[in-house]
Amino acid sequence: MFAVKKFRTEWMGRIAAIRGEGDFDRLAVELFLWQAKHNGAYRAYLRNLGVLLHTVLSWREIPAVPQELFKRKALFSHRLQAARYLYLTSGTTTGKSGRNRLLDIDLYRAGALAAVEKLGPFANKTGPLPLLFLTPSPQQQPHSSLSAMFGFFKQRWGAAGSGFFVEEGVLQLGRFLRALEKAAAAGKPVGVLGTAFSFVHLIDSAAPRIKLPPGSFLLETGGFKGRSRTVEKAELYRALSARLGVPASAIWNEYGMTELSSQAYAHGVKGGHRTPPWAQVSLLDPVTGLEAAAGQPGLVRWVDLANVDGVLALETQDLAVRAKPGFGQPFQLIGRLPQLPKRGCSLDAEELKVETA
Amino acid sequence: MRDMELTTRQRIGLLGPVVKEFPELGLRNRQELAEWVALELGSVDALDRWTKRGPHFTRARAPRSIYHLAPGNVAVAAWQSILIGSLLGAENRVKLPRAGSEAIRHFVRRLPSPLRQRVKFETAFRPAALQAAEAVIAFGRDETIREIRRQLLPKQVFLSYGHRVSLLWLGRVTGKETVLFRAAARDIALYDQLGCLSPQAVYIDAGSNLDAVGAALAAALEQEVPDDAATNRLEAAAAIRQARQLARASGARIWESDETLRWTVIADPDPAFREGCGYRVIPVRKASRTQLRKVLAPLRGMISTVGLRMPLERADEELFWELEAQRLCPVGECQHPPASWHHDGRPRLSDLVKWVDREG
Repeated sequence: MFAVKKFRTEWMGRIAAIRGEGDFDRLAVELFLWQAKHNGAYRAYLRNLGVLLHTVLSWREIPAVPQELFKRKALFSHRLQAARYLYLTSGTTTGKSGRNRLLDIDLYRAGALAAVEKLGPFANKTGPLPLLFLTPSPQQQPHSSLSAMFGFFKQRWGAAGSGFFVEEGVLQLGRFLRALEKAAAAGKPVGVLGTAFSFVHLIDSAAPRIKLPPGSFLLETGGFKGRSRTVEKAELYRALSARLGVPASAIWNEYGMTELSSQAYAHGVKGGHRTPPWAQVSLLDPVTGLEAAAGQPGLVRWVDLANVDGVLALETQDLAVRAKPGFGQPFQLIGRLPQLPKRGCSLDAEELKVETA
Repeated sequence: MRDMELTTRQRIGLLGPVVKEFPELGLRNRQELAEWVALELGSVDALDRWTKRGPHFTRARAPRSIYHLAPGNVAVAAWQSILIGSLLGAENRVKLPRAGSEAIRHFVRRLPSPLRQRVKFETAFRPAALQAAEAVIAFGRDETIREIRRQLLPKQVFLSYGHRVSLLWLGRVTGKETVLFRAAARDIALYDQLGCLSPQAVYIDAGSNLDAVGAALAAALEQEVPDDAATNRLEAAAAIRQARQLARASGARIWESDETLRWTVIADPDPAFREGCGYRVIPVRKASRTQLRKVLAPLRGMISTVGLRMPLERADEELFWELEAQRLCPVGECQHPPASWHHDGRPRLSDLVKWVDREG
């Protein structure tokens, strides 16, 4: 059914209309059963787990695949040859990329636009504005799901002067600053969107301070790997506020991943992440295998109903905490679990560099 | 004399009780310390007086100062490093790891005062301190080692211990070799399976019964792994959980500790060697010697220790010689190399000293 364009459009309408956990459960189980039938690698995974499909009655019971499995298996719900889009994870940690295939980007585009408009920095924006992206363009990096998403944003909201400012892996700082100054001089809001890492480059540069017009926003993504996330995030936001003249409340974080089609958004240093109605996050205590108690960190487990072509349920190695339990409650992202050291090697180069600085 | 008037024999005298208190160091008493020095330097007095060498005399000069970049995952490696520095009479500056520093501090507190005073801790990495030392000993990822090497001065002696893997090769087994599997379980269980000497995989001969071996190893781990094995830490639990999920995804049979994450045995149908996650998650793989040669070929020069059944078969010896493994030992002894072993293929004391020759 998800091979047919009309049905995919209808599905997006159905999941966008979700009003509560009952709706979510019903549609989640429907998609789960469809994927269990059509996604060979997922079906094999469920079989090996000994899952009885008819016993799965709630989104919380849907077996999630570990993110790592995308590096080993083709988790695709159609014939492999039918995949028109292939997105790759960076593979920076293990050197091996995860692969997510899409039959079409229609749901990814519709979901990304609706989510950012509902939960993200475009919530109260009425018209186009200059959007400056600190990433490669989708044309330069066709296998980057982030570049693709930023491409959707540019197409939907980007005014004249919008553009991508990473070329062949290098931030084009001079060109970016000229574009930023030009946009700021016009006195109208500007959006700057990029990876946390690219914003750090901006801070580290000798670029002069700029005061962006009121209503401007920054959106960072990609996370702060490893320890002390909160501190690093606070420092980054403080530095960005000082450098670009925007309040911390106008700095947003987007939390998503290549293997999924939906995103969560938070703003300000302490803002919790919220997901759109068609995606939910539960937090799993890895010690007990049960849902983490309120206030206790757990592994982020997504159920994303827009992710029809891959697998809807994904377990990550990211840690988060939730102050209140319950459907749709926001969560605070702590960050990625520390990567395990290779045998006999506990000291990493990052440790040297950080402390040298 | 610069080392507070202490001779090597006096330092050995002070370190005797320390090695007795820390058996993980692989030395039992003063005599073994003296034998180790004599073995590596030719004489226990090599640092203190001229000794005859061919037609001339020679004397070893130890580094005045050693900068130790200590690992946090296996404290005993840091202890060994500090022991070596103390034995040679050097000033020791120890860069503590972010995690796991308490065990290192504890060891240093147990050193006798004259040696303890020669150990200083650093909590932050300082290139100036690194470059001020005559010698540097570092444990780390390969990229870390490269980064340190980049910062060294040409005159500095550098002993680096980078990424290595270890494994067990049991040959043909039936699963009834209880003693052997208990020994294998001890190798796997120690140091949370995070050390470079910790086996990351068990290989058995292709003619063995994988299910029987998996069950036997599981039973042995149940006996050998303590109830309080550290699996309540989030990163450990998450790593174990993911390893189990991935194994299930591949259809592998799994044995796991009841309702806990203490140990996991995976009957892995794919003989290829892959990095393990530690925390007593151990894959068992079947392979003939020919297959083993092939699957381990990418690790040539990276294999630290191979635990084998004794007596050692000539074919195994040749196989791992060809694979450039650095140490072959009986199963159960992987984590207990003798003091005189060549760590990553290099002597641990003699690589640090320089020799002065006197002729005429």
